Amino acid sequence: MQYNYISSGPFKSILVVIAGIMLLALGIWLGKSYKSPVVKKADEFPSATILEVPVPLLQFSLSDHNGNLFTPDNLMRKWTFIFFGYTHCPDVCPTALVDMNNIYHNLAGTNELIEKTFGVGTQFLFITVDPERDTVSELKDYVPFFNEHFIGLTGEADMIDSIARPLGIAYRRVPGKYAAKDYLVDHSASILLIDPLGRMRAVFSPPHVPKMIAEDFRNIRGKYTEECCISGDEKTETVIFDYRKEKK
Amino acid sequence: MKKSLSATLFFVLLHLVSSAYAHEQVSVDNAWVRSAPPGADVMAAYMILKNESEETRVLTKVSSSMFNRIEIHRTEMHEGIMKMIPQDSLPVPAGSSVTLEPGGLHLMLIGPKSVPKEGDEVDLNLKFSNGHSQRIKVPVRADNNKGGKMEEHGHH
Repeated sequence: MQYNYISSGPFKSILVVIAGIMLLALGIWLGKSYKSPVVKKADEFPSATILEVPVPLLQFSLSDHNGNLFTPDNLMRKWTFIFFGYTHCPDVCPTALVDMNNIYHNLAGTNELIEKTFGVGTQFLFITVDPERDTVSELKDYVPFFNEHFIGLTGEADMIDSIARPLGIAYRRVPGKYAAKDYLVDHSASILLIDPLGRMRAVFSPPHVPKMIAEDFRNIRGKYTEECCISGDEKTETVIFDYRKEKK
Repeated sequence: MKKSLSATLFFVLLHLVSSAYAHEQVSVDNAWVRSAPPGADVMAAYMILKNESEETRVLTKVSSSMFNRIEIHRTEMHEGIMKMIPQDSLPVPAGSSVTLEPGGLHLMLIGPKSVPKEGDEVDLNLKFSNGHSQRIKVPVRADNNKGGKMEEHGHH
């Protein structure tokens, strides 16, 4: 009966105004507090986009530049930087590899590449998006030139496709101006960071500033290594579970 | 002794002549070629082109005795993908400069006769639309830093 009382007379318009103000306030509050549940670009890591829910790499099998098998097992208990590129690439790929080399030296300079933080090491991969031209021997001539510790990976075109696409790496061939075999490959130029459980945890978009990436990597590693490698559990999943329980 | 004197004279004259032309042509600063693995098919050259004249100068063609072909390219990012866009020519407006740098404008050096090593020099011949052409020698470096491996990228 209270309803009838309020919904008539001057009360009604006052109530509408109050409700309006409250809705507006709620809107502002929601707008301010809303954060994408999956991706956030936090000030905490200025050069990185963090994936709050890490993207797992699917089962794959590639060949490293020495002809050895490389599978998701090779990602376990290591932080891994990945760049997708190709060896017939004049500007973007050498630039990215030199940047990765500078990240490497920044970390090596403070002796941080060895497995001292929770027994977790760091590795750098160059995965070709042009397996037709980038054979094992091509990669062997190319990748170690930039850093002898870097690992070049190639494999079946379908296999590389199935790894790259879920990680948001896109690429396509562009025919050469003079000869078909001189084609270029347009491709994403982000450096990806894979966590020690083989899941993509962060993306470094170009232009890359090695010193900043090294610094962000230190902080990301500090924040997430324990979560993924000591407790083993997916913290983000726990959060989602609690949230659902609260809703009920 | 005589030889070195005439050499000195020659360079003094050369210097005088070249500074007389300095305001007519495009000057090239901080030119470098990114070193590449021995088997590389392509390389890139970067530099700053500065036009001190009072009219636009257009770079129309670049050639080198050390490469089969040289193209002017611009790397651009479209929806997260890096594309290389060939440029027919490269205008350098009067009184300003154009920077060729990693991830942006660059000269794509295609088909090296033999891949030059770090510390080598690459000769480039720059042709402009006013008929002027300019030969430059460009050092090969791993990176555009002079201070060694622990570089800082200060240009972003």
